[in-house]
Amino acid sequence: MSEYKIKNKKAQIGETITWVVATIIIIAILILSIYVASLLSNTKKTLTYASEGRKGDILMEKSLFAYFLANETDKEVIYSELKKNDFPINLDTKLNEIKGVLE
Amino acid sequence: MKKNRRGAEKIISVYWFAILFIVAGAVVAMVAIFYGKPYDVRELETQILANSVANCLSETGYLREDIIGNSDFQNNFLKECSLNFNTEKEFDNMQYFLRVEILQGSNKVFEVSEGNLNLIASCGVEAGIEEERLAKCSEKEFYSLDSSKNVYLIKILSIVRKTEKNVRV
Repeated sequence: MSEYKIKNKKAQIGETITWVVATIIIIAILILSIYVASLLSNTKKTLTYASEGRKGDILMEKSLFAYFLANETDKEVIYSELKKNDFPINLDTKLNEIKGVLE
Repeated sequence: MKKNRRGAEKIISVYWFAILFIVAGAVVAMVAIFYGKPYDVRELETQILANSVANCLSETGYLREDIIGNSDFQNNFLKECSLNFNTEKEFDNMQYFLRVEILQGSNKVFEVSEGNLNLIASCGVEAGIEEERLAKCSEKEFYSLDSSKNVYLIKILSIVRKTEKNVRV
């Protein structure tokens, strides 16, 4: 009977150690996950006009409408000024696209 | 021995509940930490504001006819362009500023400013020091024609502050 009790106690100690180690691992993983979440939250969360994968720019398109309506000398002025701007999409691509629609 | 085993099972089930709550609490904490920081949409807002003004002033390449020399349009600019600068009650001061200039060659033929003029101090500074708490500025320009095909350059400066809503201070 006493030998059985000792064996049972050894089994209980083994089982307890397993659970304690498992608990430590679970808590460690959770702490690591919380830390990673806090690191990720510190990355720059900024939405910009260019970062949205835009296929059009209203102001550029308005200028291009004016470009097509203007006389030849004004066209050159508008185009050279538009070239200086930094648009989220390529000016010449858009220009050719509109030309293609108009022709 | 059976009694002892039942006791151990009870302890383990209590332990399981404790672990369950710890894991659930950690998941809630992770979500709160990650989504607690707001997205900064002020830059986008300045662009949207500039686009709204552009849509108000020009259509299909032509400038609206009732703008130049019309003091009513100038005085009621926000109403004419269906803009509303009201913000949440938590803000004491106006959080927007808008300036529109229309130039014919080098002559300024129209100018209007609306909103909080003090915000203009943030422009230029923010680009240099990347300070999140300053207001965001956007200076845009586009071309338009009148019915006589005269070319006008329209400059729009839009500024949005609303720092408390967009940045964790």
